[in-house]
Amino acid sequence: MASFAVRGNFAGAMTLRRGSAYAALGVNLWLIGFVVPASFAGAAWPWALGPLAPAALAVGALRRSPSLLLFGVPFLTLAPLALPTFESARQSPLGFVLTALSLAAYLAASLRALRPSLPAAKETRPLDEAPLALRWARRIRAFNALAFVAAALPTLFIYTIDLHPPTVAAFAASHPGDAERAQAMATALAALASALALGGLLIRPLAAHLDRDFALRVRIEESRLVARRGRPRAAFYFAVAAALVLMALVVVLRR
Amino acid sequence: MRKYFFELLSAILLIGSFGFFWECVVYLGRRDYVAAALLTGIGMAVLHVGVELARLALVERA
Repeated sequence: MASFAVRGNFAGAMTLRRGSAYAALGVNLWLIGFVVPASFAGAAWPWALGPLAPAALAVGALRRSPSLLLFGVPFLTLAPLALPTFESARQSPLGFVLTALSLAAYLAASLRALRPSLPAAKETRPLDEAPLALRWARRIRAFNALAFVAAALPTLFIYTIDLHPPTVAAFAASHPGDAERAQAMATALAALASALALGGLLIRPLAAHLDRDFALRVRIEESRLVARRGRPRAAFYFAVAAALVLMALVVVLRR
Repeated sequence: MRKYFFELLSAILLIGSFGFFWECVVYLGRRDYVAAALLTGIGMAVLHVGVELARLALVERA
């Protein structure tokens, strides 16, 4: 009975310690991403948006809500920066780097805190070390490489578009007076491309792999059946028609 | 006999499609983007037809 009490207290303390870390980093993100820019904005009304992010953090921490903690808090903290009042704050390279680091640290701590916590044992000992199968070693290397690319690609895009001096100079030369808008548009497009790449090239294959690539195996089997048929598919006739029509168009338009 | 015919035809189409892509690059050099887009479409369509005929040749062989 005593051991259960000790175990419960220890698990509670671990949860509390993890909770304090991500809550502290969330408050830090709010201070750097919202309070400091709002202090220099020169207007009072942006402070009305101030309580939203801490409220989301508190509710998310109480309900252990992944959507609130991983999306709501960063969005409510950083979305006000898109307002014209925060123009000068957006242009500060130091502020950008600090905010990016705070965001990364907060997201990492939140993900760690949201992991399902196992009951802490009184004492632990490692299992007998079994040699890792080559297949699993290859898979783990591939997963690590995918995770690295998922983090490195957006970072490279953002650095190249917003901080790399030759690119910044090229934006200034090609869009005189509107370079910031062009950079913002390019950054938004890069973020969209990164999100699509992350979803399509990382999350979807991994999720399909959990299902033993069922959809892929069905498609392979369908392709095998189609390949055995001795008649052309409908796409064949469509391709012939398209080629003839396009050739006629080229002849007519360029005669 | 049909097998050889399909193989020959698919080889001609697959190699011939590269001619359309080459013309596409030439038109791009002349900044004639409409013609380049049309030639790209022709190249893709011819490539597709060649692939389909190659599949039929394989079916005939089996």
